[in-house]
Amino acid sequence: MNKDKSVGLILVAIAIVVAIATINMSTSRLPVSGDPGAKLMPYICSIILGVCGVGIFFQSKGKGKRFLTKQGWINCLGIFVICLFFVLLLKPAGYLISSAIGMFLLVTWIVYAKDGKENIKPVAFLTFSVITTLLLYLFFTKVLNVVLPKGILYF
Amino acid sequence: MDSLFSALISLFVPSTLAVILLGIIIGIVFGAIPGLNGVMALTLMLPMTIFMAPSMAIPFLMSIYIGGVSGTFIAAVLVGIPGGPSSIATCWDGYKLTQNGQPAKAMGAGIISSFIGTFFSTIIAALLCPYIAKLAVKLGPWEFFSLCLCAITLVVSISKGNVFKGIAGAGLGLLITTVGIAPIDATQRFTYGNANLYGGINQTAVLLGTFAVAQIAVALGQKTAAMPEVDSSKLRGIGITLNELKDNFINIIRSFMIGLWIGFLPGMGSGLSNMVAYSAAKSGSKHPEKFGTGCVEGIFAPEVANNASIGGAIIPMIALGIPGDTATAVLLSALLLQGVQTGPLMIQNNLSTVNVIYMTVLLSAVIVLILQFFGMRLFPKLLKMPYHYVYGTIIILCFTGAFCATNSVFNCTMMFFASILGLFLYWAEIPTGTTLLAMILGKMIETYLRRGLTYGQHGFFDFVVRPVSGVLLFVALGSLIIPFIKWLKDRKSNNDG
Repeated sequence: MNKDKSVGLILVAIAIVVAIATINMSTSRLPVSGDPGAKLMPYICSIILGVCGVGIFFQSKGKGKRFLTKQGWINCLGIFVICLFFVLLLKPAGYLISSAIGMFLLVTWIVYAKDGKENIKPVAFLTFSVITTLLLYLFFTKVLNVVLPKGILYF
Repeated sequence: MDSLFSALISLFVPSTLAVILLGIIIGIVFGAIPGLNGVMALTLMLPMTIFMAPSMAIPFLMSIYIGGVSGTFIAAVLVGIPGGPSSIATCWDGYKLTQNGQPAKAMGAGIISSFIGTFFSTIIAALLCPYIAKLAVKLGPWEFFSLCLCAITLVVSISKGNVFKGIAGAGLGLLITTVGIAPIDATQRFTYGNANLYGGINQTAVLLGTFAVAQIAVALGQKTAAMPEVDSSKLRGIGITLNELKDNFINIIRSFMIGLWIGFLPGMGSGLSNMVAYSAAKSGSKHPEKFGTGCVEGIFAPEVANNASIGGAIIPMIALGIPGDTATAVLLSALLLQGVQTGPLMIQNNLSTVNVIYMTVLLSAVIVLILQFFGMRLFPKLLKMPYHYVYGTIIILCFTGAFCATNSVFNCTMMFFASILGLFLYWAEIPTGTTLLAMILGKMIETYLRRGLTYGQHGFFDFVVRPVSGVLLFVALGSLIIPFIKWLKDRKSNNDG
């Protein structure tokens, strides 16, 4: 099955899920005269996605060009894994720790994926990550008065 | 005329001039950093202005507004990530031009366009404010719904390749806006008891996720993550030639009118106008195939339009007390805080304040032009930075921006999921532009659709029989059908061949 057929099927699946969720949605408000209600828009979205999914499925031909190689997918998904780790760490560890670790991991991963293991400079990357995180923290907290997550260590 | 002149003189008091300069710099910095924007800067600075005199507070906030809108193209051009929704279309050609080794041209076109859009739209706003505002009152939800729909279909029609994918992108964008409390009747949709979702999915999170994280991750996967090379020898003059300006005269005028009109319509602004202008420029170009490959027309159109929306948005703000966009909504709050009576009587009762607004915008446009031309030689230096540091910092900065948008870690989680959506869109080759535009307009479309159905006597028929609405729907339908017919013809000729 080529990529467009998969895209079409995914969209149809989303359309079905949205339609079922909309059917089960409770709307307790009394309808105003002429107003189709809050379910209208989700139904419209479901129809759009369903019709487009079918259209894309039947329009597809050939294999299409390859999006990423196997190594490319690993490089790409590595960024997502680090971002997920950063987001999960943000609340318990606070902004300073999670950002410094997150930035260090990101910088290291990008260099590893692009230029290879031999170009990784852990000390330089760590120094950069800590200094940049501190500067960002000071800018947001002192200049903009934003209260960033402190975490369980309260900093 | 005398009162306009005295308003201009009042801005040259050193302290006022200093706050204008400060406001512009804050605005440009916020506009240029992905995830931050002029509206955020306005909101953050608003409490500070309570303690200022109106003669300083209003110029300060107006200059942040101008700097914020003008600055959004910098990140769009240099790193391909829009500073805000108003420069999404600028990325398509601006970043390509930078990648082609012509950042000065991309920057120059952006700077000149920003100036043209802001300066002349404000002059028109000052001249036509009382007259044009009368027209807006006559438009109802039917026309606004049709306009929003037309905007989306126009952008869908320029999607590369498959029209179904363009429409599907719009469908996904609309679906995002259905999460949260519904307009009109406040029904909870798809919140499943999560209080963080009551307000809906934050647009900033989706914008940053789909553009920043997904784009960087895909670039890394495709091994195209290196920052573009900058040819420093080309950083001379203003980046663009007089001939290029002349060649784009019609494009500039058309984009200007689109920006002015869309900015003027309440609730719509630069986020929409830049894409519509880009679409119109591509349709009207002799070389539409060059769009998306780094052509200067594709920078002039969105940048003139998004800045022309400033003047457009000022018209309903001053004449009717209705905000043209989010930024003017914050500005209206600021005016109320300063004791200014907004609404139709504002011009009559607060003429000096109105003139200060016009003059601040004009002066700010000139200062922004000068500052950005000086900065033009500094901004591309960002590209000399090692790409791994730049991308690492951008991702963390975007998550910080997402946090600031709602002051909650939940928004960072939403941004992460948006980045997965972005990856899906890139993989599926579904245009991200249509998704984001539909997301920006989704709530408005639903509100106007349901209001139109409630207020009218003939249900959906009302949308067709009202002249303006009917014409817009006709254009919307045509913009979808024409590419489809083209596709059918191509298919037939391929089969015959």
